[in-house]
Amino acid sequence: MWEHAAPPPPEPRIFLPAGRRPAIMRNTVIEKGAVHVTSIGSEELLLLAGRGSRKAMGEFYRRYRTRVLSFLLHMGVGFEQADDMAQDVFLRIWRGAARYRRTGKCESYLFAAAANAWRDHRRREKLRSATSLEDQPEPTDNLQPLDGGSVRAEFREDLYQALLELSDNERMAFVLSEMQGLSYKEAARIMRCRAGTVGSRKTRAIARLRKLLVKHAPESYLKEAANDEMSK
Amino acid sequence: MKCPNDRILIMFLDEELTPKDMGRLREHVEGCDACGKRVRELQALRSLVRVGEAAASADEVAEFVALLPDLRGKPRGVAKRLVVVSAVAAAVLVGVFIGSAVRPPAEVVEIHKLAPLAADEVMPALVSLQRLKLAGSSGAAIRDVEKLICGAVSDDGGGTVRAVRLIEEAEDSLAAGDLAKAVVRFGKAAESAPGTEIAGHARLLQARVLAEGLGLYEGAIAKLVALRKDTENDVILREAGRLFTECQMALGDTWGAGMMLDYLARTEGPSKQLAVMAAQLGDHCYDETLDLETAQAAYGIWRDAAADEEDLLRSVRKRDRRLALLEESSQEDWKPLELYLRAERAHPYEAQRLYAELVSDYPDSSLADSAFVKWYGFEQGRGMKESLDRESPTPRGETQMWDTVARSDAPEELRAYARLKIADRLHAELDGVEEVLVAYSDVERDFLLTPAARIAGEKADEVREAIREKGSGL
Repeated sequence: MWEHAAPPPPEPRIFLPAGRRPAIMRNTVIEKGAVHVTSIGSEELLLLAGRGSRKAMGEFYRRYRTRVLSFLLHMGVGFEQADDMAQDVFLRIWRGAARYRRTGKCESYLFAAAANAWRDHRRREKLRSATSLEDQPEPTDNLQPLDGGSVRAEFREDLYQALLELSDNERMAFVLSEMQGLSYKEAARIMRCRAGTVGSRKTRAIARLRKLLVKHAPESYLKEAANDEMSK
Repeated sequence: MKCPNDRILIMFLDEELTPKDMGRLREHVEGCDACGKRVRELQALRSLVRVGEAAASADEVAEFVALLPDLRGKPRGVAKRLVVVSAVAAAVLVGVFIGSAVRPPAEVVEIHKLAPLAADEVMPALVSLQRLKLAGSSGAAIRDVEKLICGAVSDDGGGTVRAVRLIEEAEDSLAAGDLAKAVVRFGKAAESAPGTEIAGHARLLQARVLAEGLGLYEGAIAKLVALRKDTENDVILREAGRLFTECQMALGDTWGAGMMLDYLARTEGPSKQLAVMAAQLGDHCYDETLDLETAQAAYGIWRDAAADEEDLLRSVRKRDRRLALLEESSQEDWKPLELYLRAERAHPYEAQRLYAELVSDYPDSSLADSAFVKWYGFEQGRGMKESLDRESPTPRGETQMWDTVARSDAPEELRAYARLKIADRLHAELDGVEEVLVAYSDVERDFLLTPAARIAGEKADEVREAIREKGSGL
């Protein structure tokens, strides 16, 4: 009964992270999937997710969820909506991970998906505002879940308010390059423009924020920050 | 250099300028107060707005992973059309081959169609279950195999189901590098279904993690001993035996390891793995612990197990030589061999003492001559003027060496041995029996309490006996 389906002589195998194997384990077979997910790069995580690894996708989510949420919040999406959208972005990535190719940093891929989600959201919002002027979202206290009540948090709240007064392009250039740390080239790919354009949009954004932050927040924030940097 | 505008300063901070421009600007900023202040402001802004590396919590991740849809079986677009075409083609092919004697491939997915399992099929089924999961098979197939295993192992099923779940959780913990948690879960799994194959499997995994992951060999041995009460499955027991040996070797219990190897050799026959383990154990015992009895047993197992393994013949001569040396001498002779091996690994001064001890305590050992030569080599280094090729002393050189030592102020036992060897040489080379007798008697008399004197006395008796038998001819 068993003969034709019997596997080769079974050898109980073990799942251990490669880095922790002592010399005595040199003959032990390490099964597929036995790599510790926290020890591998984000690009590899996406490639693994493309092969159906939920653990890899979970780890990718763990690393980037806050950054995507922050991106959406600073692009003017309300907190609850941003939370849902962030989850949706990762679900989109999960569905499309099989098509992911390692051509650049995975952040570009991730924020491109987030930017697309934001554009969809913006389109829907414009449509809604065109049909009903009463349903304008009131983006208040959006950053509370992320920050505490420190001076830094107060500054961030002011920054958030100031960002809302920038144009979409300036805001995205600032958020991607200054806040998320992407290069001009990566940001340009996401914004579908040239790298130089990102630079000029960001410069304009900073110039406007300088004025707006002085209006929104006392100068002391910047001075304090500058003093902190000096002391460091 | 003219002060740059904000855009250039921002690009400077973003490192988006060419290396040459970066260098020039850096020099300028260091020397210009206004630009330096502006750069510090921009840096301060960046430090305030840059998003940190805060990671999502474990709960959030778990919640998200639970939301992930199963992507398999849901082809879209071109892929969907391809699948439909493939399905039609497959159906046609199946139709063609139905009824033919084509044997189905050994596909593990078919296991769930076989029921019920015999006890000795549980372990292969568990392995297959693991493969199903690794291959990403459907949940239904996996559940079917689980039910099959649980049904085969235990009637009540409840404990076994729990054990299977715990094993899965423990393997997840291992994958996450949480070895201690995995050990606890494997232990709980074994306790959930005592006396079953699954308990044996769990204990084996637990012992493996303890030994190989955490280096807790005593704990692993305890688990392996407990395992024997749970299962009589040959596969599990053999694997447990191997692990047991590895643990004992790691703990330095070479005798126990040798016993276990012997048991494995007798029960499972020769194998490459066994040969490797036996060779390792033999080398370890011969070179490090000087446990010659175990070394002989291990080399014996190695020779039998490696008979057909050409790739294991590296160092074969060394091991064959060692085995021959061990086999040709009785266990009583192993003490001088042990002394000799220890001396070879010791510091020169200690080595000379050990060689002297060997010569004086075991003058009738086959190693006494070599030890004497080695001892003499050290003496030479200390000022004995007579030259001697100690690597390959000629018979004449040997006689000269013995004579030198016999007349020197060397320890009594060594002088006795030298005199004995001179008597032996006389016995072998000269016809003058009287001289031989005199030589032996000299040793007997001069070194009354040494082992060499006892041997000289015995040899003198032999010569006298020979004279009596041969009569006056001698």
